[in-house]
Amino acid sequence: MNKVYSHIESITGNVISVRADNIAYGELAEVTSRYGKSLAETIRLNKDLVFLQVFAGGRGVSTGDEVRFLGHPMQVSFSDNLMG
Amino acid sequence: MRQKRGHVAAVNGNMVSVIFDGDVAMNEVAYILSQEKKLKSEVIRIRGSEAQVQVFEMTKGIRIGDEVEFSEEMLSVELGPGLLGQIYDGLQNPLPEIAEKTGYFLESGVYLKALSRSLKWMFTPSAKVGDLVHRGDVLGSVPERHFTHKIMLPFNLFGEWKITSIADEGEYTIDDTIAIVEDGRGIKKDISMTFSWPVKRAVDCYVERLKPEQPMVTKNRIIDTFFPVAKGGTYCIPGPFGAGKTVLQQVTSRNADVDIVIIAACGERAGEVVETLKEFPEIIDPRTGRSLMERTIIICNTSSMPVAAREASVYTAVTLAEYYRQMGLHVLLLADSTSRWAQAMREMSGRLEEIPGEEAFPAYLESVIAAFYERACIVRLADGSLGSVTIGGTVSPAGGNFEEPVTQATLKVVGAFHGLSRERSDARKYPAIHPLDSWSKYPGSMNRETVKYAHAFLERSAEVGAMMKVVGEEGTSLDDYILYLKGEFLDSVYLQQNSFDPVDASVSPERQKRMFRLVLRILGAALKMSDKEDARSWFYEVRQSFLDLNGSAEGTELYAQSLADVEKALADRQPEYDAEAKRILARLE
Repeated sequence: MNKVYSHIESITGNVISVRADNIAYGELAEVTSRYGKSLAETIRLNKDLVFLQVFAGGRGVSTGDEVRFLGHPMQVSFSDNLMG
Repeated sequence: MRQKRGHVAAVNGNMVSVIFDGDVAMNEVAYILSQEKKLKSEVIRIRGSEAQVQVFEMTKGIRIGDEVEFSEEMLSVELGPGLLGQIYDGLQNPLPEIAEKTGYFLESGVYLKALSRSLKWMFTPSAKVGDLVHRGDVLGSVPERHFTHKIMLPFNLFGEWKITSIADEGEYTIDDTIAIVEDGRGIKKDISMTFSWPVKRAVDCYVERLKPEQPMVTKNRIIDTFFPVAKGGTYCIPGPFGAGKTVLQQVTSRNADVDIVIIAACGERAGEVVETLKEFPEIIDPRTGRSLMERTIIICNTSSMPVAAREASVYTAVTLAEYYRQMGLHVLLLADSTSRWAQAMREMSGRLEEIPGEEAFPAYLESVIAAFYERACIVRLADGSLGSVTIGGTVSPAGGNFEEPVTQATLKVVGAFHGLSRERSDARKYPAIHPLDSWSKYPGSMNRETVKYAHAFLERSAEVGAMMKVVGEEGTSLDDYILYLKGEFLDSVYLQQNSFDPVDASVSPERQKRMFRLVLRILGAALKMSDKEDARSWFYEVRQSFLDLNGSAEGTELYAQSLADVEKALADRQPEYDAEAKRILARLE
């Protein structure tokens, strides 16, 4: 499930696209660039093209950077300690 | 990494499309090899094997098929000793040196090193062999002008590094190795006094970001008292053409109590920048007694230079500011004007055929402006000292209409707004900051409630003034008329300043406090006046004495004389104070 993609098709502003199969809409991915890791969310699917918005911004992201899909949408942990 | 080369596939104004092999990063620098020149450009979009780059030079003469080299670096600036006093273009090329090399007409494709390679600096180490250091930690220092320029571990060396050798005290050029560091995996790095940092990434080597609360004194009464700016804060000065934006910025850069001033002349007319360049070396910095240029860096990218470099120039300026902030210094960045910067963005967005937003500015205009102002901050560094970057941007909305996207987007993010008005500048009121439109969220040196009390007089006076325009002076009651005169009085003796008078041009916070109290004693008093004529002539006289007072240094005969005149005039009218006025005055003791 956690396949790593190492070719980014396009970078426009903060949105990148990769060719990948079997990705769910809203799924999270991790983009690793030379300036660190950032989460990205799937915001558009078009056949085998998956568009992701990179939360840390597209600056410095290279077409050779790794994208790893996490297989789940955005999640938050809950506990009583959240209050305050 | 695979070899990164490409060739030109399309040219559209400043935007060139490049077909490439291998990997290309967003915002990477590429050079177009055309007509035996290397033209610098930046990647702004990647689609499949085609990248769009914005070229920082004139694109005339580029042909389809011209070769392109990718540098694997993002657009960066060189940081190190020797930046102060320099004049750079938007890409950090030293303009005086370029002029020496190519003559007065800028040639395209000429790039020089930002810092002098031959100059030697007296290095004093402060770290020892065996010390563990992180990025931004101080290794030693060199004297630069009258500052101690700290030599830090480059900000791009993440993780923990151990110093295996460090140079002895002595003279070195910026390229000499002054230390060798090693990380846990045994990778060694030679450290020199200079390194580069990508301009579009904020420098984040600090412990904690603080709330901007300490006021930045500008010695301008209307700013310091009514619309203060905090160190590490942001403010904007919108105003129509010729209302005095540039003058106000120049005066601020002279008097503000910051260590370093960086001026980003962004898309301004070349003539105006020449004025700054000519004047600054001759102006004496009141704090050090030396030329103002010694604590200034000017980034100039005039309207005559290519548009793409203008977009980069404000980032170049803020990166230099952040570098000096890391040394525990307070830096003021003045961007003149951000409208031209936004226009550069609009131009590129149009060429990229993005869907336009309001007035054809790109849809992401607001987030880009917000991200730029977000780089202003006051931080606590690893060694406990404070450093700040304060950003002041001018906005020049066409026709002085503040209801346009750049002004509105800026207003959403800044902490203070000094709106200049055409009406006040035409009336020769300096500074032309409109006292009713402007605002500030920062705490000033003066108590907030006191300032509010004084400000209320301006508001009510303006109301009476507007009413008088309709019903005439005869239809106004004496009380209202006195209120009107009080507002006018506050405006003329306190809000306005005579910038040609050496005393009145820069007023210390202590003196501002004394004068403000004196003004409030007049504003807050119930004065005995027989009729309007009497009130008018009384205020006229007091104003004259007060203006004399403003123009005389403390301790001089004129000062004592004018102060006595004001006091006597006030005593003549047997002032009475209500409970609120008494409380306000007691607080100013």
